[in-house]
Amino acid sequence: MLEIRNLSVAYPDGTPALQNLSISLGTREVLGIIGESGSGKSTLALAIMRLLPPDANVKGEIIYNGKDILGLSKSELERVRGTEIAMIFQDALSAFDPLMRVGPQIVEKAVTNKTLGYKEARARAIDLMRGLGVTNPEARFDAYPHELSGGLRQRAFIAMGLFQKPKIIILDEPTSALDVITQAQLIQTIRGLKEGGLSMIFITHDIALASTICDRVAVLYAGKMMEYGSVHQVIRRPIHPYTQGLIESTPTLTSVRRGLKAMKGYLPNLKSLPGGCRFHPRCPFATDICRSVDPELAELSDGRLVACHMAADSK
Amino acid sequence: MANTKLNGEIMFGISVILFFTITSFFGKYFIPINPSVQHLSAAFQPPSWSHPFGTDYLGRDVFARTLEGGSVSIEVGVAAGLLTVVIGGLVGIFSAYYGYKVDITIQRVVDIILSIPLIVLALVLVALFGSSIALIVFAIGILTWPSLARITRAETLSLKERDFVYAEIVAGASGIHVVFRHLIPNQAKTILVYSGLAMSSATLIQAALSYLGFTGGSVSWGFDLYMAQQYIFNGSWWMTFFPGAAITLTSLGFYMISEGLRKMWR
Amino acid sequence: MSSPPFLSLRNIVKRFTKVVGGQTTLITAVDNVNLDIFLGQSVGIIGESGSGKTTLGKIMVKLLDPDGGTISFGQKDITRLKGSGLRDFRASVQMIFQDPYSSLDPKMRVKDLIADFYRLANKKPTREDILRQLELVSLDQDVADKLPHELSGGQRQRVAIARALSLNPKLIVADEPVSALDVSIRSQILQLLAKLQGQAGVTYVLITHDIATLPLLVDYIYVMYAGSIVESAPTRTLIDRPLHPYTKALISAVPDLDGNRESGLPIPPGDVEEATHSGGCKYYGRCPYAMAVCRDVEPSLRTVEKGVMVACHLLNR
Repeated sequence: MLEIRNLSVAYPDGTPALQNLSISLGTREVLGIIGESGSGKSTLALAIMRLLPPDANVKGEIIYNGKDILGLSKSELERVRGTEIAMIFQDALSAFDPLMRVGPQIVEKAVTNKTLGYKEARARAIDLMRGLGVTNPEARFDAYPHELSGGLRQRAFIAMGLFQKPKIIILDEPTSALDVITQAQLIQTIRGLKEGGLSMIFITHDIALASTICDRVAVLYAGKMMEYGSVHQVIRRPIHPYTQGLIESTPTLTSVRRGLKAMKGYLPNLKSLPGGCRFHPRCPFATDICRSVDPELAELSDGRLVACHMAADSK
Repeated sequence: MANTKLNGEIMFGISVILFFTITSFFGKYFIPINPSVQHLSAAFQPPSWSHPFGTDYLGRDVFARTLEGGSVSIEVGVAAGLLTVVIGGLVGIFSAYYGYKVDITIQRVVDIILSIPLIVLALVLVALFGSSIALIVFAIGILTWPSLARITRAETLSLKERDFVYAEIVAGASGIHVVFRHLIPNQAKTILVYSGLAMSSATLIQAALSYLGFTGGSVSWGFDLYMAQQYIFNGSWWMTFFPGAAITLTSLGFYMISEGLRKMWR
Repeated sequence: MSSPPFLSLRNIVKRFTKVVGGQTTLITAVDNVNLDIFLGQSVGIIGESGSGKTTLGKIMVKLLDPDGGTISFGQKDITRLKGSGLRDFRASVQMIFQDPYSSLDPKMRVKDLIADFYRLANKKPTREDILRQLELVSLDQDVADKLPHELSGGQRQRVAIARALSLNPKLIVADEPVSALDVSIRSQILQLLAKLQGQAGVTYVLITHDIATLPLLVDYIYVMYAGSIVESAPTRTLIDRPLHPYTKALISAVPDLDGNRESGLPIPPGDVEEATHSGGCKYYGRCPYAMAVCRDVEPSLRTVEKGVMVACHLLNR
């Protein structure tokens, strides 16, 4: 569905945000992008939607439907955005104009494009919201953003994203601002969408959350992909030390028995990355080669990709 | 800091103020013309070598008077400006910090003060205490602090909800400690920028007061301007021009310092 | 517990007025809460946003005054005390805040931030004292001269902890201490807090929405929902055998790495803001086991077995 080849993004001052990323999204698949701050995960989402600032340095290709998104003209881009590829991000409150009611904003693009009349658009939006678990959708349609609770607002945001029936939806930390129970509700909704045929890119810092919904995951660290494979491979049996570290240091209800191990060190400053493998200062297995040579992504025998000198041997 | 090089505005402002300060306080040692000596026969003389700014309606040297007038304007400008900043700053911060009744009471006081006309206050004070520079400074300071109070109150309202203020309270800090060690330093730039503005308007208000006769007993540009107005039509432009220019430049000088600081710190 | 509680809250009530659009509503953020803190027994308060847990935390450290109820420190009623009367209390009870970016005065260097607290306790700190505090939280010496904006989130939080410890408190109330930090840093701070529990002899009240962070640090958990405590039990008991339907839903909703904890439990609909029922049990609208009595009568907190209390009609049989 979507193929990203060698995507590199740098800030105008030269700081690298993403380095040489290549991943693909299949039909009916949920691809997880796991990373902390500075990992480049949000940059990736913005790059796909071409929402990066104009002076950002973008290289590589993002192929959708046979065409490179990065090379589309403005009018083609406007057509793709929203109708083919949509994006939901963390803060639904800032996604809506506070002075307009929620409903009109959900249907706005379709109505202005004259794809649908207002009455039909409203009916479809209400149906959509009901399907997403919004209680009393007629009233919610006419509500202002601040009148809705966090969970409802996020669903309205998803309704806005889904309204034009896109093929791909990018969700950037969609549940981070929500309670655990609301998050569980939303995950259930998202599962429903997946069964309905939607392909999704699910961006999160919560590896446990990713394991409940994603089919494949890519683990990013300081702009580079460290591990890429199916959830069973990467999360149940992680190979890259960063992935292992993330899993061991995520507190879960069973972690007290398993033992919570903290990863040492700090996230690196993108402006001054460590030499060699950028994870080496924090890696318990680092050796001389790790300190001097930045490892390439290599394919292992089970089909996953790992960027680690120590892992290349376990083929 | 983004722009530590002193920018054009600050340079201009400092130069102007320094110029007036030096000339008005020390000029008299270099240019021994007495500003108050009258030569009625030499009245209305246009600018010349012996009288660079001409003479006024009483034959007094306008140049000397312009220099002399600077001392009052600078003194009052700085003193009243500082008074405004200290009162306005502290009142605004305490009002916002303690909130509730204190805040409401102080806001009422502010409303009352804003409704007192400057002239009326000046008249009353002069009638009670006689005319003097200290009085002028007091009158201006008393009436202009509310606008800074409003600014510091708004700043403080948002600052006091910050966790570091809560941390101080939980550690047992008194209100005084929080205000002086945390709230003021975090608003220092705003207050400093405002002090330039305060001095600028204090200078103008002092000129206006002396224009109306409240000179505090000293030679003052405003009053000279008033007298000179009556003689515009006989062509003595120098009597209005020089005092007027001096008022404008001094006030502008303070303002430019404020602008320059604002630009430097934004 | 045979010794008296270190800090005791009884019938605490706190209300706020909320203005949305043109309508003003009165919200009861904390509704008749009773809580006892014993030294040596760290406690967790778990709840989601809107549960009132942060408000309760602020009341506990006397940042906010309750509208009703009493707070007892040792044997003293400190509910109405202010200023210097709170001196002993302030020296014994400290707070760590969620946002490491706003809990430090941006204008002060780390050494001054720590020294500031020493001075509040009327002590004059030496450079050695400051460095010792930094070492306690595993920070390098060169951090002492830095300004907050030069530090990472994890480092700032460590400074906040070091600062709080300089008063030698007996109790530290930590409100979401790791939620604002990156995932790989969270466990570092949690382990630091665990280490300090033994080393500095502090007891914690850990307020959070992330129940997974509690087992490492606390022995006893209170579950809050819409301002009330609905269940309380020792940590392992609560996690292994939750009794209140809300607690059950909460625990099963936490994503787990070892496969989904699919307990077959239905996810309750709606959320706290829209679905809090008044007139009976607050969880009525979302509870899969709701009965008629739940609609009309608010259940009170009752001891079900030793140390375990639940407010639910289901268990009143």
